[in-house]
Amino acid sequence: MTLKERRVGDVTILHLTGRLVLDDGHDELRHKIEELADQERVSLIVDLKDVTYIDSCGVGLLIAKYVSLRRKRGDVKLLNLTARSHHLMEISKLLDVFETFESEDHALASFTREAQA
Amino acid sequence: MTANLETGRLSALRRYTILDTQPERAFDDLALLASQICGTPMALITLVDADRQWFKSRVGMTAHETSRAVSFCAHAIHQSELFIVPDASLDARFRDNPQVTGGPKIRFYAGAPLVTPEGHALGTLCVADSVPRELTDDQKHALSAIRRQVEAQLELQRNLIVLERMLAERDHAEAEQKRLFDELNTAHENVRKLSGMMPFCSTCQFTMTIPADPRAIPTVTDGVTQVLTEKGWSEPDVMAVELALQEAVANAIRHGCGGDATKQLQCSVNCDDAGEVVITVRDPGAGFDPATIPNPLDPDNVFKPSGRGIFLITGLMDEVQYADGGRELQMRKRKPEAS
Repeated sequence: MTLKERRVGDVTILHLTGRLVLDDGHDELRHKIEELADQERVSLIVDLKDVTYIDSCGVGLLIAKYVSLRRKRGDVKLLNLTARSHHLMEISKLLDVFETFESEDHALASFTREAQA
Repeated sequence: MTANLETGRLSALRRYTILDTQPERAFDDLALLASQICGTPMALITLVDADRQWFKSRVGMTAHETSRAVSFCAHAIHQSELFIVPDASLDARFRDNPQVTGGPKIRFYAGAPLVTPEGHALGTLCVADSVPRELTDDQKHALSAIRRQVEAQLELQRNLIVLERMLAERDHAEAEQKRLFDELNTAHENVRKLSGMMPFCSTCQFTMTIPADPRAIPTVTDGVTQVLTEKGWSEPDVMAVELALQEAVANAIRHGCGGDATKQLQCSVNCDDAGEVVITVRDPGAGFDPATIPNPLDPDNVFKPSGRGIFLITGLMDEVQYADGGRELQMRKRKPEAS
């Protein structure tokens, strides 16, 4: 898996490419989110458009980091879920937990609204 | 010289692989120097073979070799220093020699043995004349000095031969390494894509033993994915089986093998044309009771980072069974249109 980081204001957008599974990408993404949390960058959008494969470990990582960032008054929002990722999140009942978006602007705007609320 | 010494000497001579080679400037120059310094019309660099003496370099001599039986040098190689015959016609050993009575009509001969670092005299640097003569001390010293240069040249040649052989061996080893690497890659690719090993069979059945290393998971999942795709399974169904298998193998690695990559687990796949795939994953662990696994959909568990694998497997496959105390998981799925 490869990971590209972009920052828009207080929000960090992580664009993932490849597999997010036990043997690939898991540790890299975990370290990156922990590094961002240490910098108090806790508003995160994870762009899954180019994630070809995600398993329960990948999902487990996302939910673990969702929980830890929420504790720091941050959030993890998911952008551009593929059919495959969407199906996995759906049967894991995690679509009720994560906010998901098909547009980066909408995802960014959701953070703005929360900040204003 | 004893037979053993002669055998060793001839073996040493063979190692230099110089017999019957083309003339070389480095040797020819030294023979010319010897001839000019000693003031003789003839100078040779000879190598004494079993039955002949062969000339690597020659000045004033047309023959390429002569019989060892008439060779002055065959005597010289038994000496530790210069072997000098001032007048062969007066020497009982040579006066009837055909090279004295005829041919080049040799009267004077002076030969310095060419000795290897191991002590084998391979031949000589020699000068000869058709009239009797003596060498001055300076000429003797010079001839010995040139002899040492010939010996150095021989060693250089031998080292080059050894170096060339080592380089050739290295090239061969590298080529062999590349060939093996390519073969390994091909084999690995075939294993990765198991269907490559059984492209047209109606029932694909295989068992693989893989290390308990997450990096080995695609070895199994890629192959199963390709087999199902080639058997006409739809993409969502292939994805479902692939994910269930990924989860099953990941569980076996993490829980059954404790993440210890030195352990192994077994994966069997049976896929038939009737549209059913049966996968068995077996690990060497202590086993577990599936009934004790909490439901990840319970509100208390939904935020937990783990515990979804078995739930996903159950949801993605048609039938899931455990055997041998939880050490063996068997799961099956049918193509929807074949149900």
